[in-house]
Amino acid sequence: MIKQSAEKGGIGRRAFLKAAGAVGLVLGGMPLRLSAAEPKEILIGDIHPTSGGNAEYGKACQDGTRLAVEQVNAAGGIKSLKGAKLKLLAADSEGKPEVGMRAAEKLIQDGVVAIVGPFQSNVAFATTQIGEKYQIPTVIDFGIADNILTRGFKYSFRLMASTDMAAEQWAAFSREIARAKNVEVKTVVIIHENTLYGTSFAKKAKDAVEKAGMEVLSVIPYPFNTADLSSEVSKIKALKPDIIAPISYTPDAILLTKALATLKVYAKGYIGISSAGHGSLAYPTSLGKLAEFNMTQTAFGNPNAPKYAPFFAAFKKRFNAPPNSSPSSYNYSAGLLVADAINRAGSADPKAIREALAKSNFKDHLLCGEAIAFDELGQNKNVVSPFIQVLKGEQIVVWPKKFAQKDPVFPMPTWDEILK
Amino acid sequence: MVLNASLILQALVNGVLMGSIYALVGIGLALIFGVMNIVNFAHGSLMMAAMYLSYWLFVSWKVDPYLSMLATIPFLFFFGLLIQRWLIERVIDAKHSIQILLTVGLSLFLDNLALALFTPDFRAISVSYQTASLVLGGIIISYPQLIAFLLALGLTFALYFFIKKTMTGKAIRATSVEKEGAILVGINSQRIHYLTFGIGSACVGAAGAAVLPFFYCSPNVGYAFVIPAFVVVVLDGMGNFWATFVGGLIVGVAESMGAIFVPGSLKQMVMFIIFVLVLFFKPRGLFSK
Repeated sequence: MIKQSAEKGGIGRRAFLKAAGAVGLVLGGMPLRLSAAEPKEILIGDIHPTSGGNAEYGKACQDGTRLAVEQVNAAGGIKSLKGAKLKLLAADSEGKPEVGMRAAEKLIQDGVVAIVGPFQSNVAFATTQIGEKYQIPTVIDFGIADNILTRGFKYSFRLMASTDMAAEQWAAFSREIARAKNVEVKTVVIIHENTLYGTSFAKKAKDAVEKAGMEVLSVIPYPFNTADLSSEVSKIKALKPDIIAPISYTPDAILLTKALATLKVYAKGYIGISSAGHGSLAYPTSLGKLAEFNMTQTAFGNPNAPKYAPFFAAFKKRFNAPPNSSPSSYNYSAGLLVADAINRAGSADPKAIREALAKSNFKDHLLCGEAIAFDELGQNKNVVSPFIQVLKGEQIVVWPKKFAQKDPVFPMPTWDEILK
Repeated sequence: MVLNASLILQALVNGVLMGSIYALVGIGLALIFGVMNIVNFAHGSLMMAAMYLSYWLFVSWKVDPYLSMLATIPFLFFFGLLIQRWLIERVIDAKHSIQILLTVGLSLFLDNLALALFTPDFRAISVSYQTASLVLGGIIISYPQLIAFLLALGLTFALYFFIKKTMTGKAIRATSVEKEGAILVGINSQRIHYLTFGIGSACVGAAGAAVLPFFYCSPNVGYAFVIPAFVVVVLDGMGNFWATFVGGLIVGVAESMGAIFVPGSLKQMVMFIIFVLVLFFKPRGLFSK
């Protein structure tokens, strides 16, 4: 090389110009890019169980938030902050409170201004503590346990209905359907799994059902990891209720339905009270025909929301799979809600965002119900937990009418008709 | 409360039917414990493996779960044999704590492998006869559960015959009673161990396929059956297979009667109260002399 340049007598004029031009282009480009990155990105955290037992739900949740953030950015970012872009920092809770807590600490250290998640009650109970400590708002998607919000935290906001709301809505909707179909419904048997979830819900449901003027014939608890529910089901058969109201996880929901069919227990309605198991995707897929006409209340997205169809299409395109109604639409809404709050706050300061969230009146969401607005505890007061029914293997929203895709089938056909 | 004769009779039938499954699972546990003095905590995970095998055979090739036993029983037999050959045999003379760590570890490994391979989804199969039942004077007997009962009864009889009457069975019994003596008379104790673990595992191979028509399948499904099966094993004091079978029925009936008579959540407590009482008053087993 040295020899060569010595021969040529250094760099030629033309070569020099070329090099200078290239450098100039690079330098000239730099300030342009810097100005594009100004104002800098606003970080949003997302905590969900993307590994472990609830991994599939966790992923459906996280993809929902991700889509919302990407769409906000594609539409020009946060308007009040000169089009500032959002950036999603996704974390895995593994479904464990302690891992969720560490994830929240890490996200906050990385500079997130709000957190979305974390799908489970026990994890929400833990992560919101961290959010409260650092004064970073959390928008809770799911996590129905009462004590998450009753601690008086200022930085926790929950989208899904509380146990009280769900129980009241269940009783009201059951009455409405019976009235609409001109069917007499007077008696209910509640059968529930006996962990905190089922037990506390059953108590509230019993009160709500009685308040609505129906009689609760019996409240039957059972251990959710049991191998057999035939005896409990025999008991229901002897009681002959108009409505069987289960509160179950997935495995016991499967066993319960099989036992009801085997022992040919007929009731006018088989309607889950916010039953996680009956509302799960595994319920219709694993039971096939036996799941037909089962109704349950669940935190489903609103298929009639104007934004639902475009959301569905965009989600499918982005992730090569259709969204899972509850987790994906709830978290999509959470992402949009946070963007809306930042926009209204006109600031990326978490305290200002918290104030904006507390004053939310956000209509552009996919939940069933009116605009998202929070009460003083941080509970979304306008959300509705609708009834879905399994019709031809699909989970279809059937009540309230406003959100329904189809008319409910009520009373239920007999098992012989279902299994025909 | 609506306690009437037919409800109690129905619960009795349900208990007997479920109990036979606990018994079949328990027999496998008892056999392994009786011969090698090893508590196999991976028993439930092996049952889970059988259930998935039967499930996938059904989903992929429409193999009826009962027919799939032709695959699950030999598969679990050889799987058990290999586990004994490669893992358990290495700790056969080690301390109990080491053996427990090994079988618990194996169980965790298998459960998490299933979680990785099959996701945590709950799965169930739909066979045409899944809710078919026999109605006898108001009592409903589910056919799949009745078939499972008859299978458990048949297999118990076959195992009883095998252990009592065949040379190999006698060798297994000899090894169980007096290992050194058995070796002295020329019994290859290692081979007996392989065989025992194989047979013990084959029991859950049969049980797994037999329950699939009326149960669900998931990576942790084994615990639903193995916990009652442990109670069964304590009940019968590792005696003979018939004692285990009767022990299974007792546990099943205790559970189903519990569901009728005590507030529902306590039904498993009835089972465990029996467990504690037997340990306390008849530590060598309900049927011991």
